Amino acid sequence: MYNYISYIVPMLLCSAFIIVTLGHKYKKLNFNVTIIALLSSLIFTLLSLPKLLNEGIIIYQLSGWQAPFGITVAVDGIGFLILSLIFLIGLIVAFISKHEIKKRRYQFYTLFMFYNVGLVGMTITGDIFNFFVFLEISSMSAYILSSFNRDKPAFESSIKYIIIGSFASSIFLIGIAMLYGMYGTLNMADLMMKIVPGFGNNIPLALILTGLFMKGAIVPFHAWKPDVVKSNPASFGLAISATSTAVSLYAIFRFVYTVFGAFYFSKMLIYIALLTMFVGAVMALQQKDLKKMIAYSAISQSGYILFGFGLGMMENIGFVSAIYHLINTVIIDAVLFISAYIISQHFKTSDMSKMGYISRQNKLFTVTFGVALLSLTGIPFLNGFASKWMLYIVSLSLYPFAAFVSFIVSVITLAYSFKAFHLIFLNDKRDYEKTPLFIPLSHKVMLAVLLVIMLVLGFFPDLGLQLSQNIIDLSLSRDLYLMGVLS
Amino acid sequence: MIVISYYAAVIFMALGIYAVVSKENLIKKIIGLNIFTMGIHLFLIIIGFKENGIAPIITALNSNYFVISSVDPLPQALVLTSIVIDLSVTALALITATLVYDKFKTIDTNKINKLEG
Repeated sequence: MYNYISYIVPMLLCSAFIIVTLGHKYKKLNFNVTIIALLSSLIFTLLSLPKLLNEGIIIYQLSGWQAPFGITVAVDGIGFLILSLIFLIGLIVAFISKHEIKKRRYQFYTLFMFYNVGLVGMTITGDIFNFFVFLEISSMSAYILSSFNRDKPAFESSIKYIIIGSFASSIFLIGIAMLYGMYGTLNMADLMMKIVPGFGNNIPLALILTGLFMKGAIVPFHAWKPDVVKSNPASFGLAISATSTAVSLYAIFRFVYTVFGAFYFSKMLIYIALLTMFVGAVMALQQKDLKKMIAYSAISQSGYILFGFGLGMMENIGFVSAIYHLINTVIIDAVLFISAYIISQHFKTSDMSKMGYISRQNKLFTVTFGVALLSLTGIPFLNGFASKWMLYIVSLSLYPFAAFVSFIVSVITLAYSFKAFHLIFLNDKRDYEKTPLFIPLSHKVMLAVLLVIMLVLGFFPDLGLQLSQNIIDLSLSRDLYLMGVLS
Repeated sequence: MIVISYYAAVIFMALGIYAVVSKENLIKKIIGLNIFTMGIHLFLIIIGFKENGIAPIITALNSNYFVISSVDPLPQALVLTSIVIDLSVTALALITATLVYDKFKTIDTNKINKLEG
């Protein structure tokens, strides 16, 4: 069967090249090339689905070099899901930024394509140094994008992000160097075969995890993310909250579960996850800025996903709930950031204390935002409920305390959701009815589709559950990965 | 020789971490990042180093003792890639630092944080 996955990275790179050379002359080209590249990448990903279902894993040896010597492309179930999410979120980001980015559009789209190249590469690669290079590609374009507004907050967040981010990548590089020194290989499957269980493995694994935690904004290393999201366009905020976190969580799964088989790390992952969800929710409660609140809430939700991965090391059902929650969170994040763009465009600020009374102007928009906030909390018959409920059930039998903490965090989530909803939609300190709320057609369509998906997943949770179960079935076999890459 | 180099690598990394964490001047922080990365590069190079090793190029003369006597070429390739990445990150960080100076008229991180809240 033909291999489509390996065409995605060169295609995205070519589109970035086209935009940077021709973009500032032909204005319409920027958006069109971005959309075409992302759509065709999505189609290529979906075309490789039969191969994934047939063989259990998609393997491609780049330029015919066999596995321990060349670079391998390996995509399993979760990798396939993450790739689809990257392109879907990328399309949403492109549509938001069509209205949001007014000047220097070709710079935005070029850097956004490079960002996607990095994320796709991190997802599909089977080589740890190659992973590091793609990590740097996506990080570098994110550093530049985070100073896109060229004002004081943007530069402050950007320099903070550069220093924290490149420090984290260097720590990641020490981990790689140690692994190469210990086992003499960089290929993930080869490493998997050669690794001898023992205490010495923990140091490189911990260094690698530190780098990934910084990239994904997991709590002790989350400080850069809210500032970056606050001082930049909402479209870039969506990209960095949804896809970057998803890819780093996938990489954590790949390293801890597949490569190292370090099931004893589950307890540490669970502690960090509890810290992440708690700190994220408590900080979200204090924020006055809408974008900053959404960023902290995204951090809190990534804690839930990491919690599921930690539980999954002990019982596989934990992985299923984590993947289900990942899908739900990405959908909710998309709705929240599209709404954040519309709202901050309407009030010319993202400070929540200066907003009020949208509910009288647009009922349907109010309902959509309310549904997104309630499903973030995990109210029954909305999409966040089933996945959070599964997490509670799984953790109740293993760690009752962790289940208690995650339930408390859900209550805090409800509190800040209500606060935001009250301040933006119900608060009637001032009279805002003069200017009507403007929602572009493409945003209306996206919000409607996402609302339907949220409600469908809420009323028929079995659909999402079945999907995540199938994805997990395709990615849990370590032997299949080993055999697929090395044979 | 190898042991001393390992110590040197660790000292470089420690100095870099110290500079990044404790200095308040942005330029000093960036220099600290550079020293940290240099330590890692040294560490990578020593992993592939052999005492009295030969250059990893196979010729007709050395093919029978090549494997036992040549140094490992892979870490050198990794370091080359990593140096390029480090160069571009440093350039980007310095550009951003000058832009920060243009806007804030200072490169003291404490003052920048205070100004912006």
